[in-house]
Amino acid sequence: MASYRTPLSRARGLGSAKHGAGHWISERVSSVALVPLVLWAVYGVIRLAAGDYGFAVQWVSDPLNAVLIVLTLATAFWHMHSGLRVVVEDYIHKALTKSALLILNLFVCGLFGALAIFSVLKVALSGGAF
Amino acid sequence: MTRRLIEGKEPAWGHTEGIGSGFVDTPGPALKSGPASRIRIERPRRMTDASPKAPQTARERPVSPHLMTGGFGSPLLWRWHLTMATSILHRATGIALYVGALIAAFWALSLAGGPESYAQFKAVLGSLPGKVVMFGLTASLFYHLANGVRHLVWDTGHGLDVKSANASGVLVIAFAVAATLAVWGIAGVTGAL
Repeated sequence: MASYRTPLSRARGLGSAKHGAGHWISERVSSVALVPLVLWAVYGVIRLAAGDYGFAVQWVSDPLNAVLIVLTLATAFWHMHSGLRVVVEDYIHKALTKSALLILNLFVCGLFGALAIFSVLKVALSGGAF
Repeated sequence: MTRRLIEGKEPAWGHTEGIGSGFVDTPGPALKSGPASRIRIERPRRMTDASPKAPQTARERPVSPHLMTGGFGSPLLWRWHLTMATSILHRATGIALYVGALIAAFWALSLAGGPESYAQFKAVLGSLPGKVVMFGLTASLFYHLANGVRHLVWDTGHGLDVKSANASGVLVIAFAVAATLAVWGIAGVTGAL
């Protein structure tokens, strides 16, 4: 298809958007934070798997555990949003599909991250009463 | 353009030859005037040759493993090697852990829902398919964790030579296997299974 745009008009605006490093750094910083958080979470899952509902409520109600769970969830959902975003950007090149998947990724991470954190806070603050 | 290549006046990084050349300003028929392989044969290989008089042979430029025929890591083009496998595994385990995080969100939701929904959640994860998924997620987690640390070390500029990269790849896989078995051993002993 013939294009009447000049090479200059096509090249304009395609340079650095001046925020590329931010995403890269946030991936690294969140991964550094996740190393201890995730190791602690594995310990937590082993404890929780051996216990029942009462134990889980008691465990989540501990302030240290509650804060660490919320931090782990927030960092993990942030990190996985960054990670899958790069995967989509690498492999999906059709503009509409790519935009749709990027938005879906953001919404899924935002929704389930928020649901998980709110649920943990509800249990921690109410002691399981509802 | 061919004349310029023969005279060796193209930039040393040599991005001007091949299929992409003249993409913007060369009319279509000009691209088909001679086979690309002939241009490559005539081109002085400045990046790899110690001497410009070294014998010149046709040489394909490297491409990403998945960009040519045969799909991902096709043995037709690239033999499987450790650093490639560890790279692909990092993405695959990352995507698996995405699902794992959603399972964690359902854990929190079921806990907030009360004793019945929590017991239901535990029954699903405690079933055989649930345990298989959790075992896979444990392995994915430890692999992604260790390989993530490997990437962080690379980001500091260390361990990027082939020998170190292969050695750290073996180390990462060994850690993932050992840590997964250890965690499931501990889970079995403490009554978590």
